[in-house]
Amino acid sequence: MSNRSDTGGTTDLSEAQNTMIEFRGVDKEYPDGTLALSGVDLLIEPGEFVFLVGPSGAGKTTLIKLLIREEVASRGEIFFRDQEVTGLPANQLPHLRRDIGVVFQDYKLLPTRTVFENVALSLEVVGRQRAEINELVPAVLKLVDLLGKVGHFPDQLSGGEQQRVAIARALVHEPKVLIADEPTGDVDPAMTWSITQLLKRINEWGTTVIVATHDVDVVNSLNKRVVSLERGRIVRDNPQGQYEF
Amino acid sequence: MNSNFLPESLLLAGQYVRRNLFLTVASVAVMTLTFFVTATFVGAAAGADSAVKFLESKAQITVFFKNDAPPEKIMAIKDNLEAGGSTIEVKYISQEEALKIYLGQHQDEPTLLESVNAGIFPPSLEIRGRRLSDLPQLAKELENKEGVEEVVFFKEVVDTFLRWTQTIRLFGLILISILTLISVLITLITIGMTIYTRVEEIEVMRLVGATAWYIRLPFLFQGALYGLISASLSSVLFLAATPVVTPYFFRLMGVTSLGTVPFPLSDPVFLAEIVAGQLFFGVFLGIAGSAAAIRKYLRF
Repeated sequence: MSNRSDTGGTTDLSEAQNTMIEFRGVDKEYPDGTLALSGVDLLIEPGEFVFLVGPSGAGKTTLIKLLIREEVASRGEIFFRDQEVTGLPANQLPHLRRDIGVVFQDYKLLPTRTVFENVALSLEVVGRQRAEINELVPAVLKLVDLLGKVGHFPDQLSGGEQQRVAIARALVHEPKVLIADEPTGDVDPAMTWSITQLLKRINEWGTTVIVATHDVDVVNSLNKRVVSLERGRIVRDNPQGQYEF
Repeated sequence: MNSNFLPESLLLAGQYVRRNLFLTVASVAVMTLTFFVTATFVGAAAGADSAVKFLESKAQITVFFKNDAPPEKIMAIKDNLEAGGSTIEVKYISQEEALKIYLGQHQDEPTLLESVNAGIFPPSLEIRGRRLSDLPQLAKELENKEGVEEVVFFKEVVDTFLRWTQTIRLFGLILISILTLISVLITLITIGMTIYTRVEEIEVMRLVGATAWYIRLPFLFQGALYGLISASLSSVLFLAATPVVTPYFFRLMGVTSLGTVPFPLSDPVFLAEIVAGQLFFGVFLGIAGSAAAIRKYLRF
């Protein structure tokens, strides 16, 4: 496994320590020949709020999957803090994933578990004590305004509520980075606003937030950094951008 | 490994067992059958072994002399046999001693003791040979000695027992091997089905940072639980069946007339060993099935 300071030789140590995520010349080609990402260079610093925008199929979800090593890059290097992700041994992946909370596009809530149990899962897998789980889960559910639905199952919740359970699960173990993949895809405008404000608040507490979306209103409402992807390439990177077509 | 890891895994294993009730019942039934058959054959083989040893320790040839055979002639044959080197022990039973043995064996049956006296019991020599293979020749020679009334030869009984023991071992080994294979396969299928129905959960666990062992361990415990439950059920069945089946076992082997054969299944230590062996074998088999399922269906 390599670390940032010994690869390429172009990044000095002080820069390395200030970087949360870095993609260096990353390509992702699927076995059927589809090139999902091509020559992606991206640097995200701690505490940033970054929108990844672009039409469907632009490569936003692939970029997220590469970062948590759900997929492996075909070429290039990906760094999370000081670790090179692409060559990370399998036994180190759980530690990487504990540092990155992901709100998946399809939520990935477990239908046989209650809201409480779904959120608690993130803490159970890292071996947190039951007493601690009983304290932390209600606290994070209060944050996402779902304290009244702890005993509900996912199919008893609306799309927006399911989305907030997914955010609570991604957030409960206090990751360094929170990634939300199309978090407002299936929710009404009021819930969109509520989720956007929640993500903004999480970022203000110091967590690096990356939101993949093609929701123009969400992007334009926050005036944050916008990285635009098209056909697997980064075509724009505006520090305080708007969604540009 | 943190302190919550094992209890959480056990809880999950219990949940997997409960939520796949039909498969659990099927697995436990097959494994129980395996353990019960194994215990039965181990018990039967041990019983047969014990009976063979018992018979070998008894007089293998008993030479009954005519009632009027002079003791000095009998003693001369005894001395001759002892000097020959093909015997381990030659014991002279006089008419008086034969009466004593009879009285001892039938002391609770007064009707059998009426008008019994030493004169009706023939004097005898009880002989233990060095090798079973020497006995036919020895028996033949004794039949021709002067004063000999009858030579009773136990070789056939011993041979029958040896044959039974070999048959039990061979048949048992084949049956146990087949059932063990079926048990491992059914555990593999059951755990495989559990894994299959939990693919989504396993994927989410991995994505939120579960280690491979956090995911695997409940399935290993699930297999071990199947083994433990099955071995316990089998042990209860076995302990309940033993006193009922044992007399039939001896009758089948034709040894009811040979008196009390020390049978290991009436020994509490042996029974405890059988139960402990079943529990160990059960857990081992369950874990083996789970490990095979994990290897096959849970690759990451």
